[in-house]
Amino acid sequence: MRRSLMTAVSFVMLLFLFGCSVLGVNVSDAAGPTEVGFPVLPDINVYPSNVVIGVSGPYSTKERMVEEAILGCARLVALSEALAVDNRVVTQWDSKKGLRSFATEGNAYFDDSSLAEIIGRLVILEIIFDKEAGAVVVACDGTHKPDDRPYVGSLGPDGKPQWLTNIPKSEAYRFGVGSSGSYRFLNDSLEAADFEAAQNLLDRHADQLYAKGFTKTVQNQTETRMETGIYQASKALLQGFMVVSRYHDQETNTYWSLVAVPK
Amino acid sequence: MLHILKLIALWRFCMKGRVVLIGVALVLILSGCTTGKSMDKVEPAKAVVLGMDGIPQPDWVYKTVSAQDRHYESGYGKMTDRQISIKRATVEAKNKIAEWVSTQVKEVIVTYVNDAGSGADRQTLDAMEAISLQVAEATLSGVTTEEMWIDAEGGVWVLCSIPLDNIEKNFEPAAAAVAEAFSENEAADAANAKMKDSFAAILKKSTN
Repeated sequence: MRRSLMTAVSFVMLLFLFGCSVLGVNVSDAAGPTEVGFPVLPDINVYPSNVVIGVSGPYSTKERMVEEAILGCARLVALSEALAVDNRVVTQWDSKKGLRSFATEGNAYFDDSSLAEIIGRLVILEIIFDKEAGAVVVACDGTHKPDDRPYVGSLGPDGKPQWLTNIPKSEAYRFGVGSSGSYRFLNDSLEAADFEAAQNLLDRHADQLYAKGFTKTVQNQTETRMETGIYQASKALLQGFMVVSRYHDQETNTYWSLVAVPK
Repeated sequence: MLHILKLIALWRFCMKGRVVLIGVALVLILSGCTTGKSMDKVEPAKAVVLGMDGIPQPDWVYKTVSAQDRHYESGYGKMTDRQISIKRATVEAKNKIAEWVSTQVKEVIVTYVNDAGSGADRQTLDAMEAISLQVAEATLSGVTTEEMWIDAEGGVWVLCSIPLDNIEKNFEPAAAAVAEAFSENEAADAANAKMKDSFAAILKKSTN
């Protein structure tokens, strides 16, 4: 009893240190409605668009987990303000041997200099603890309007979200889907899936695209074949980036993210 | 008595005739004989190809899509997983768009050189070639994935597009560079304007 009281006092101290608002925080070991395939991750669709969910991953203390989860929330808010993504692809194809190479490299950049300021304006709504996820913090960015979320998905007959096979279409938003294999910690798997979804947004709409290709015919005494090579570089600045939905496919242990940006 | 027998025979004959008539009518109905329709109006049934999750194959997979203000290209990819297949298909579609733009630009440059009557000027031709390469490799803006379809085997098809206005905008700096290269030519300004016009015309023509 005394120990849990000490822990609670530590949380409050920690949150005050971070400058977050903690009024009416619900601290629990179990979530309400959750994202499909996640036992602990709250369903983001029950919250307005200015709410984010941060996941810490396991750390040695609860204080540290909450700290990391709040940082995760602030990072999502920073990503929504501006996220620059780029991608380069090199591929080579041969008429005899088929696809010989396909290499891709992508990056995403955001401004992390304002994280402290963002943390200061977050209002913590809920904290959930889980053995695998660590701390899950639901926080609201009070400076943004609480709009409706861009898409509320439904499940297909196979029990999987329909956005896995049919990317939603909207006049107001552009959507991207990304997936990732499982990393050791849940937060890393989620971040990797979010990154792939941002890259998918770039694939779907590039502000700038540089493309160079070549095709040559190789002819010698024994054979005649054709070679094709492509180099492409693209980039885009995503503003208003948000994670719309998540799914964990337990059969393949794959994490999926659906993200959106306003058009 | 004889009259009665004759009447019975006549009745039997009539009955036989009626049976024959009914039989003929049945044969005509069963053989599907129609008198008001001509056979050449019947269209053959179109086979519907179903993709993953039973989604029918869209027309753009096998047909060229055209519009007044956009250019479309499709791409296909089948790799180890869905994510990379989408990327591969998108790369192919975007490359087709880049190649198409490059071809349009080269066509304009050739037309321009012929019109300007500079065929014999080696230096000018070299400059034109360098500029045309520069334009053909120019960065394209606003390339967007419009549609995606996954076939039954997991191969991914994507349809990408680019607004024609964006291509014209990309062409402007290069057109200005061409005008500069031809500054000694008295007809440079007029030819440059003509080149821009012909580029716009070729873009419009090729979408129809």
